[in-house]
Amino acid sequence: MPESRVCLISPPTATDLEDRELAEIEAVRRIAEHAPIGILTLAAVLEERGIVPRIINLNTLYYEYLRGVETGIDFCAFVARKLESEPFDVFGFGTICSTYPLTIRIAREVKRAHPEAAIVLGGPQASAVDVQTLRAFGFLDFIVRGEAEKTFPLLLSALAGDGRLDLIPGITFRRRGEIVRNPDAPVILDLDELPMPAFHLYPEMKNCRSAPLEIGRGCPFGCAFCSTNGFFRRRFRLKSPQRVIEQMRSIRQVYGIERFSLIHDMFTVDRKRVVAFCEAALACEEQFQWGCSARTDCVDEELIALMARAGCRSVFFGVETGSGRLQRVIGKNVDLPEATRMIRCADSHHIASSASLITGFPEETVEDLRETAGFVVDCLRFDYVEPQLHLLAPLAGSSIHSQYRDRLLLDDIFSDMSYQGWRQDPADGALIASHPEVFPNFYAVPTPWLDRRHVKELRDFVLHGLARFRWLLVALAQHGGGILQVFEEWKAWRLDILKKGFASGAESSLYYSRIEFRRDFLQFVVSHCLATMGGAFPAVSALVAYEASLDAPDAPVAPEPSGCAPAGGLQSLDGAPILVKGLHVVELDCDYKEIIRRLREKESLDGVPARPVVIAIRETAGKRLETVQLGDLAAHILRLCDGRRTVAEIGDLLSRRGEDTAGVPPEKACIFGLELLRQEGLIAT
Amino acid sequence: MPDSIKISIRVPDNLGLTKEQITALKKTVSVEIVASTAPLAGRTQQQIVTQMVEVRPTGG
Repeated sequence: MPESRVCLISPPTATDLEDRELAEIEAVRRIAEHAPIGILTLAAVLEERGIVPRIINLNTLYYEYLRGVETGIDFCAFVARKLESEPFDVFGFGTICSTYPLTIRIAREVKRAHPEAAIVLGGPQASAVDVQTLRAFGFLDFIVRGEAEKTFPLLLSALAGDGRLDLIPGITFRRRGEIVRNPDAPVILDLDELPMPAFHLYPEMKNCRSAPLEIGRGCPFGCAFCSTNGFFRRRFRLKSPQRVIEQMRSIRQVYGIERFSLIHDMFTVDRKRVVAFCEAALACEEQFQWGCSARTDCVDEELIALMARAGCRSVFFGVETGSGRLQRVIGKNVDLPEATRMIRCADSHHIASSASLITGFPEETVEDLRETAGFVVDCLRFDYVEPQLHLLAPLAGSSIHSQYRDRLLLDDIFSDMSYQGWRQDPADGALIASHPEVFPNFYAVPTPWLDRRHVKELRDFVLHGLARFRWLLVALAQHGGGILQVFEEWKAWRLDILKKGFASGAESSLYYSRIEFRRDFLQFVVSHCLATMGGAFPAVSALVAYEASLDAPDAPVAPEPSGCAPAGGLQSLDGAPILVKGLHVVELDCDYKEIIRRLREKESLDGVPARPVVIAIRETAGKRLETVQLGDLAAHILRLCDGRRTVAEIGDLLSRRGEDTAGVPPEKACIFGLELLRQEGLIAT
Repeated sequence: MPDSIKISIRVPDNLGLTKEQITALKKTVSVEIVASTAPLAGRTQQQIVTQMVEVRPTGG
C-alpha cells in the first residue's frame, strides 16, 4: 500500500467542561484519560500495513488549551493551530454523538489549514448520519461507516492512487457534487484477527489506572432507543478468552495496569462463553479486575458469583425503565423483579453496579415515570449499586429517532447523553439548530404525557439528592408516598417559600449541583415533611440530624494526626491517640444501624428504638464512604481520643467515670478498645 | 451490604484477658459497618462534576 501520512483524532469527551477547575478534578481527569480504544485499534491495523499514524487525543489537547495562556482563541482554532505545520495527507476523526458538533467544527478548521488533505469521519455518530453530514458540511470528504479496520486501509490505498473509491464497501463520499453511499462493509467475524490496540502510540497510557479493552462487538437485541444496531449490525461476536487474557497480560507487563473495562455493548449474551472467559481469568497466574456491560436477563446468580471470583468488579446494567409496560413498548423486555434480584446478587458480591434508567420516552405516562423513579430509589437500598437516570436522547440510527424524526423539538433541556456540561457552546448550538438531521440527539421527542421541564428537574433532584443524602431520600420516598410525591411537594414548597423557579434547564442543573440545594432541601424536610412522618418521625429526624451534622461549621472532622498508626499496635501507654484525618463523628438519638437495616428491607421506620448512638464516617482506601456505628464503650473511648490524652489517661478516665467495661479492668478494656479502633482505622497514635 | 464486621482484633498478649472477658468486651466495644457507598462509582461525568462542586462527604 502506498504510504500516507495519517493523523487519527479521537472524539473528545472532556470538552463539555469549560471550567478549568472542574476539568482538573481527579474524577473527571480519570474519564478524560481513558485511552481512545477505537482510534488505537485502527492505528494498530495501519501499523501492520506499514503506516504509523499520528494519534491526537483531543482530551489531552483540551487540557493543554484550558491550562494555556492563549486568549481570544477558541478550542477549534487551537487544535488547528497545533496541527498547522504537520504535513498529513489524511485526517481521520472518531465521532460520538455528544461532541459531534465540536468534532465537525474542529474538522472545518483543520480543512482550512490543510485544504489538500482528506478529512475522514468514522465512528458511531458519523456512521449513523453519513449522508446528512456530507450534505450539510462541504468541507468533509469521506465517512467510513461501521467497523473501520478493513475499510479505512482500503480508503487510504485508493486515496494514494491504488484502488477505486466506488469499490470500497462501507464508505460514503462525494463525487462530482453528488453523495455516493457504497454498500455496507461486512462485519469482522473473527475479532481475534485484530491486533492489540496501539497503546504505545498513546503517551498518556503510562499514567492510566485502568485500560479499556474490546472483548467483543454486536448486541443481538433491538431496543428502540439504542443506536448501535446499525454500527455492529446486531452480530454478536466475542474475542476468544485466550486472546483477551493475553492482551490483559501484555498491558499489565508494559504499563502495570491490572484493571480493565471490557468493552462490549452486551458481554453476557452467551453464557457459555462468559463462563469460559471467567475460567480462563481464574486459571491465569495474574489477578485482573474488570468491568463489563450486561442485561439482567443474561446473568444468573451462579454466573454473577463466578464473574466476581474471576475479577469482575463492576457491571453496567441497562434496565432502562421501571415500568413493565414500557419495557415492552421500547422492546427491552426485561423482567423487573428479576432485574432487582440480579442487582441484589451483584451487590452481595460487592460488584459495583450501575443501573441505568431512562425517562422521557414518547409513550411514557406519569405512572410509568413514577415506577422508574421508584426503581431508582430501590437501587439506593443496595450499597454497591449506583442508579443513573437519563433523559431520552433520540439517537441517530435508533428506531425511536426514525419514528419521530419529523417531530423533534429543540429547547434548552438536553439529555445528558448529548451534553454533560452546564452551558451549551453557542457555536455548537447554532450548528445543532441548523441541522437536526445531523444532531438529533440534542433534540427531544414529544412527550404528550410528561412535562419535560418537570422531568428534567426531577432528574436533577433525584441524582443530586441521592449523591447528597442517599438514605434520607430513601426514607422520605418510603414514608412520603414515593419519590415523585416528595419531589412535587418539594417543588411546590420551594416556589411558595423560597420563591425559586428556574428560567432554563441549565439553571436547574446548576442549582441542584450546589450546596444551596442541600441546605434548602433539609429546611424543607424539617419544616414540611417531618410532621407527616408519624411513627417514623424519630428515625427520619435522625437521618436529618445526620445530614445536618455534616454541614455544621463545627462538624467534628478530625485534623491531620501528628503521626501514623504503627503497624504493630499501640506502642506504649504514653502515646496520645487521635482520630484519623477526615473521620467524621456524629451523635444521633435513634439507632442508625436499625434505620438502615429497615430501609434496606423496605420495612417501616415506625418504632425504631430511640437511643443515643455514635456513628463515624470514614473514607476507605477504595474511596468508599463507610458509616460505622460504635458500641457504647467504643464510642466513649473514641470521644476521649483528642491527641492530647495518653492511653494511660484514657484508661484512668474510664475507670473514674465507672464506664461499663464488661467486668474487665478499665485499663485493659481501654487498651482493648483502643486497639480495636486503631485496627479499624478510626484512630492513630 | 456487608454484614456486621467480625471483630478479629489482635488482642495484645500481655493484657492477659480470658476468652470470656474478650467475648464480653467485644459486645460493648464494637464497630459495625452500617453502610458503605462509593460516591463516584457508576456516576456519569456530569454527576461526578456536579457532586464534586462540594467536597464534603455526604450520604451514609
